[in-house]
Formats: sequence, C-alpha cells, structure tokens
Amino acid sequence: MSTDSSIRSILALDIGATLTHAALLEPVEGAHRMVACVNTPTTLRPQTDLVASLHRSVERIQEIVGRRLFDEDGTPSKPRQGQKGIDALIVTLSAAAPLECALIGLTEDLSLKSARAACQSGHTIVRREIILAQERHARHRELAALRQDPSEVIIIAGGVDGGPVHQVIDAAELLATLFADLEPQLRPTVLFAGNQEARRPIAAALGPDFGFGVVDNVQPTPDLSSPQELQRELAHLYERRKFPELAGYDTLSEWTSIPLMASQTGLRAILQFLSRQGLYGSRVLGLDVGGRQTTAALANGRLVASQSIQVGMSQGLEDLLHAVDIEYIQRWLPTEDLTRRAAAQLGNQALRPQSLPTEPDDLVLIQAAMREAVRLTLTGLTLNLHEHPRETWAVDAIAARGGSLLHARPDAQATLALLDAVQPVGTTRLLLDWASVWPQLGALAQIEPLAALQVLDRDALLDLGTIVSLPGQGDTDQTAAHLSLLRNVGGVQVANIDWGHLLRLDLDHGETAILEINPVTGTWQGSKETRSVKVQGGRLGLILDARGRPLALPEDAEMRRGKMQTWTKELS
Amino acid sequence: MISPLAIILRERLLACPGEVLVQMGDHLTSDDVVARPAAGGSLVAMDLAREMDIDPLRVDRHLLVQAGDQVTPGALVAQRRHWGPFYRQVRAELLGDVVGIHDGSLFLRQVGEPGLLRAFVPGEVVKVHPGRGASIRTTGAYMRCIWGCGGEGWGRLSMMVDDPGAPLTWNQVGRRQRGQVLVGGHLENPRTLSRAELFGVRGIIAGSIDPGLMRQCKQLSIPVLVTEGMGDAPMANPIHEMLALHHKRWAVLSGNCSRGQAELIIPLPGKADNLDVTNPNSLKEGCLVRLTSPSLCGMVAAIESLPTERQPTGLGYLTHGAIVRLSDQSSLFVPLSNLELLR
Repeated sequence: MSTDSSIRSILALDIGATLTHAALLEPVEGAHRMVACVNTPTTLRPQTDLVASLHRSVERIQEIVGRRLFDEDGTPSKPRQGQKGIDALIVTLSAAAPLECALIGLTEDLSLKSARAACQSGHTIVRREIILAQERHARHRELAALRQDPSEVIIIAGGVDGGPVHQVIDAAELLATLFADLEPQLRPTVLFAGNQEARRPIAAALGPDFGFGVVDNVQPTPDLSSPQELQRELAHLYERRKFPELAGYDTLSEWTSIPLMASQTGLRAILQFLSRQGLYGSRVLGLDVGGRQTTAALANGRLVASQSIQVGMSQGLEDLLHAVDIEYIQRWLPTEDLTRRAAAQLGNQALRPQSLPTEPDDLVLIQAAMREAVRLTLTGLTLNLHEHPRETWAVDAIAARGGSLLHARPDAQATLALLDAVQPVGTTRLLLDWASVWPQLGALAQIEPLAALQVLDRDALLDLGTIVSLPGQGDTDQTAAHLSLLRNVGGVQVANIDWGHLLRLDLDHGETAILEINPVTGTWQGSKETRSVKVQGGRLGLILDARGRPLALPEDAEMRRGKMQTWTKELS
Repeated sequence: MISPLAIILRERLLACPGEVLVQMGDHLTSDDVVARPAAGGSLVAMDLAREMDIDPLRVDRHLLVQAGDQVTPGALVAQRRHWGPFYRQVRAELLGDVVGIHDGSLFLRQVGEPGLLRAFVPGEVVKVHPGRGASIRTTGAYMRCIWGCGGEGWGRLSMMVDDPGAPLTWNQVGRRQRGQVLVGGHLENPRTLSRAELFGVRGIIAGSIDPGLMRQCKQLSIPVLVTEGMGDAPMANPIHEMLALHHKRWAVLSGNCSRGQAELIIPLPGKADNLDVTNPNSLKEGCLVRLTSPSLCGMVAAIESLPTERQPTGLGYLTHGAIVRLSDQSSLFVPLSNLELLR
C-alpha cells in the first residue's frame, strides 16, 4: 500500500489525566508506520497544562528520532522540510474533568433510566437525579438544591411523545425562578430530551438567559429508548465547555490539524473499525482503564453500548476504593504481605497519580485494582444492554488499553488480569493497545484513514493470543480434557488440562491451528463429544482456561493466594 | 514541599459575585472578613399550600410578601382566614430574601453568616478584586501537604510527639488542646479524631494516616493535613524539624485538597526572597527528596547523582531518574516521577 497524501509526517498525541502518549507516524517503504512512541507524565501542577505536556513528549520523541519536530520557540514546524518538522498534529484529550450533570426526569424506570444511559459515555458525571413524579414539597426541595449547588448541565427528560407535559414545564418554570438572581453566564446549560410537545413551552419558561438545547426524546415511546442524540450533544458540550478550561487549549487548537477530540470518541471509532473489519471477529469488547475513569464498550458492527465509570488507576483510585470494599481487591493478591499493604499502597498511588510502578509487586497490586474497576464497569455495561448483571462475556475479541497494562513486562500478568476481570467464554482474541495510540488513530482516520489503518494493522495492535475457555466445571486437579493442537505448519501437539488450571500452548504469532478438545471428566455444556476450534497464535501463543465460569475463588485466604500464585506461574 | 521562609500570596475570591469589605493596604488577621456574597445563603423551600391547607393554585391570593422582599425570623409571609376569627398563618423561620413563589411554595434565600469569606492568611491586602475578593500577602514558613480535608482553620502549633513516627493518641487530646493545631507522627485511632473535634482542636497535622480513617476525617469540621501519605510512614524529618521549630507559633492550614491546596502557612516576621513557593526548584545533587514509589512511599533520601541516560527499573523499562542514598547508606535508582523535593 502507498499513500499519495501530502500529509506524511504525523505527530499524534493523547493527553490523559496522568500520562501523555505521543507517537510519530511516518511513511516507511510506502506505508505509514509508527516510528517512535513515548509516554510522559502530563503536566498537572499548578494545573493541567496541555502545551507543557505536549512539549515534554515532543522533547522525548525528538531525542529518539534524532531530528527536530518543533521550532526553537516551541511551535510546531509545519510542514516538514527535509529533516525538520511535521505535516500534521493530531491531539485527543481525556485530561479534562467530566461535565457535572443533574438529571430531571418524570419517572425512574423510563425517562431517567434512558437519560442516565446517555450520561455513561465518559464525558459526564451525574451529580444529582430528581424524579418529578414525587410529592410536591420534596420535589421543590430537590429542585431548590439544584440552585444551591449548581451543576454545569441540567438535563430535563420526561414524557413520551404525545403524553402530558405540565410537570416538565412546571420544573422549567421553577428553574427560571430559582436562577433569576444569577448572571446568565454562571447559569447551567439546560438540555431538554423529553416530550417534543414541551419544547416550546420550556424554552419560553426558561427565557433567553439560559443556555438551552433540545435533542431527541430519550424515551419517545414506553418501549423505545433513544439516548444517542443526547449522548452526542453531551460529547459536543464536553468539548466546548471543558476543553477550553485546560491551560494551553487555545494555543493547541491553533496548532492541530483537526479540532481537538475527546479520547473516548477516537477510541470508539477504532472499536467500530475493528468490529466491522472482522479480522478478530465482529463482537468486540473494548476496555479502557484510564487514570481517572474506566470505560467498557461493546461493538458489533456498530457501537452497541458503552459505559464509563469514574474509577481509575491513579486519580480514580480513591473513587474505586469508595465504590468497592478493599477485600474485593485483596482477593486477587498472591501474598499476605501485599494484602496487608494494599489499602495504604493504593491510597498512596491515588495521592501521587504520576508515581510509576517500579517493582513487580506494585504492578500486581494495581492490576488487582484494575480487575475490580473493569468488573464494576462491565456490570454497568450489562445494565445499559438491558441485561441482568452477569460475570462472563461471550465476545470474539477483547481490545484493551490502559497504563496499568503497559508496564506488565511479562504480558502474562496483563492477560491474567483481563481474564479474571472479563471472564470470557468460548474462544476470544486478546488485543492490547501497547503504544497507547488507538484514540489518536481514531481521530487521524477523519483526515487520513489509510494512514490510520496502516499504523493500526502493523504497529498498534499487540495480539496476545487466543483464549479458549472450557465450557464446563469439574473437580479441581481432575483431568478436564485431552487436547490436540493440529498446527497448519505441520505437527501435532498433545496435552492434558486439569480443572481449575490454566495452560499455555506454544503457537507462533499469527500461526493458525485446529485445537481438538476431548472432554474427560466434569460437567460440560452441550455434548461431551470432541469439539474442534480454529485458533491463532499471539504473543503468548494459545491459552486454555479450565477454571470454570463464573470463576470461583476459594473462600480460604491461604488457598486463594496459592491459586493466584499457581495461575500466574501457569501463564508465565 | 516545604519552604522555611517565603513570600506567600493568596487570592481570596468568592465563588459568586458579592461585596468586598477590605481595601488595599489593610492588614488582616485570619478571622477578618474579606468579602460577603450577594446571595450566598442556603435556599429554603417553604410549603405554603400545605401550611395553609389550600390548593397550590390559591396560594397567591394569601401572600403577604413578594419576590425581592427581605423577611426577618417570625415575620408573617402568608395567612388565610380559617374559621371565624382564626387564621392559618405561615411565618419565616430565618432572615432571608424572597427569591420567588412557585406552585404553592415560597423560596427563601438565607441572609447572614454562611458564605462569608474570611482572610485565612494573615497579612496585607495587595490587590482588591472588585466584587470578588482580595489578594493577601504574607511572609512565613510554608508546607504543601499530600492530603487534606476539612476546610480551613487556624491556631497555635502544638508538637504532641518528639518522635516523627509516634502516633497521636486519643489520651493526648483533651480540653487543654482547645484552639490548638496538633502535630503527630501518625493517625491510627478514630477516637483521636472524634476527641479533637469534641474538645475544639483547630486542626491536626500528621505524617501518615490509616486509610480506614479517611472517611471519618472527611466528616470532621476541622482540617486534617497529612504530609507523607496513607499507612504508617513517619513524618519526614525535615518537616518534623521545621514544625518543632515553630512550636507555639500561629499557623493557618487548609485541607482543601480538591484544588491542590492542602497547605500549612506559619506567618513569620522578616523578609523572604522566594516569591513562588508553588514551583519547587529542579532536583540537584544533595537535595533531600521523598520517595513516592508505591512500595517505598514515605522514605526520605538524598540525591547522589542524576544520570543523563535512562536507567532500568525493577520492572525492566527504562526511564530518567536519580540515584538516591537512603538512611541506611544504600543507594537506589528511582524514576523522577517517584521523587518529591523536600529541600
């Protein structure tokens, strides 16, 4: 493949709440490749500074490639001339704090539920929810509290199209009364996502001094939920309101080749692409474990649902420790010493978000926390999918990214953490954004789709391998199945796997094979006949998981820690 | 980060517009009011319809006040004839401004003390921000803490422990500590915190805190500052020494961690050159640093050298860092991200 574009040298950055990830993409032998990538701390003090963060990354990239990308005065040298400069600068952002929203809805089970689903995109955080269908004085008291502690956005949802409108209009009139003494620029933006017939009366009730927007009804009929347009509007609002609050935004906006984009938006584009491309199957579960928030998204040709929770591996650790009991995190730890230190060490990581793990134990602990952050987010995702919460996922591929997965030198640790958190069933490919470049590639695809595709295909996907989870349960240490791996290059590898264990089989990266599973003991879903699965090797070859689903950890702490040590060894 | 003597400038601004009560050149104490918000009090909803037992639509005709009026506690805001000479009356319970009347409820914004912006930092007003507040300058010792909660407070520093690793125990906190800012090495007992609040202690500074106490701390009405972090790490010696030097001196502390401002200021007479305490100098050989690596958090070391080349960590990746000498004289490579300058 070759590219005719005038854009050849591309600097792509993702500025996160903790780290800034930068990659230099340039044509090599006719196709765009990633020639350098770095992770540097985002400049947070005295405040998040976009330009300072960018300069830090650029310095490191310049050191690596041995040429200047920026001029002496700190501005990008565009276009590239000879050995100096770049042609395009792409920036995605997740450093901005989410929009603080208040939800007003008619009922809990319809309008509020749909509006809440729209707020799970990662750009917003819901601070308050008010149900209008409650006793008048309680309703007034809660609406008055909105004035006392204003959110940045008030979303009014409620009423199916054609239904009654008086309650939402009444709420808007009261908001107008309560906010009358506040200067227009200090008032929250009001978004109306309810009964279409209430749009004009609500606009009239609020008057010209409110920022007011109208989107599609999130619950047009009792059976239909439609949060997409509200979700899009919130994403725009997030970019319009929160990005400019970051120091250096104006300067950066002048330098970039396309408007700054939310990292989540870029990431979704990549997930949808992976799903449509189908190389790893069409049902792709995306996981982004960031410093401040964790996102899970399911794509199946298009994005089906996503869920973001404000828990993460640095600034978001404190919220995680509030959301889950420390014992849930401790259950994933292999030693008593680490279990004892867990609460304090995670607390300190939250206080010093840019501290790097330097010892294997640091990583084990942070990945224990990651398991719980992912588990929590996936529970939310099932609710968004209108399903009952469950612990297992049948997906073709898991596409994961996040700082806590980057320093996992033996990739086995990251793999085990993801296996425990997601508990995939069936055959699943495990993909990692090892260079932290997916959001930027999603943004780049807007102007240079071919370059984005070339880099994604060749450099930005770390294929850890295929996971085959045996569909059954059995007594621990009893032989679960005889395995035969018929390699396409010739030869057969034979092995046994026991219940309660993991097994790694050698299979070269990219090599395909047929895995035959002959059940021996235990209870199997479906028939007990030999089954064949087509598999492909990755960085870790082929991984078989016979621990059962859902994964049951021993109650006894000593036994549980022993199990964690065994599983780590089996994958290493 | 600590500075033994610095010029400290603090902007004291209202969150929403109001009236500024100080002028350029004024010398303020911590308690002095800098500004008061135009509409800072809490908003109260009074259910007039229920109180008068009438339909919300009929409340208007019985109102005795209107939007914009100010009412005093006990003032009649609505009444209706109930039976014969008897009336159903609704009276205001607080001093407040009538914000509006809607759907049978009257919304009253409380006027008074809440929301007053005090100086916090004792010093000279060097700039007035019309309608918002003022900038105050003072000279003193400064310390930024890693964690804090409980708002702002001020009082006399009181060293409660000689050993920077010793806990502040519950029986050290009593009536005699009223009005003081207590300094201990470690916080591990919830009773210490509840007694501090009960006996009118004005603030607590500790080296470390048991993570299980964080929730209780956030519910306290007094500021709690932590210098090292969670766990049982002792307070770093340079910090303990600086605080001991100022035993019995006036200190102001802010636990407002959300704005990165958990800090202690000890106003001192004299001149200082350091104008900017928020930007620590870059690391140099000989500097005393605190290690923040997850498993070494709270240890203090001296920088031996700063290699120009990236070095491998225990996990194998390469990064820029410093070789530091620990108290047991052993040396260790630590990434720059895991170092905090103490002095």
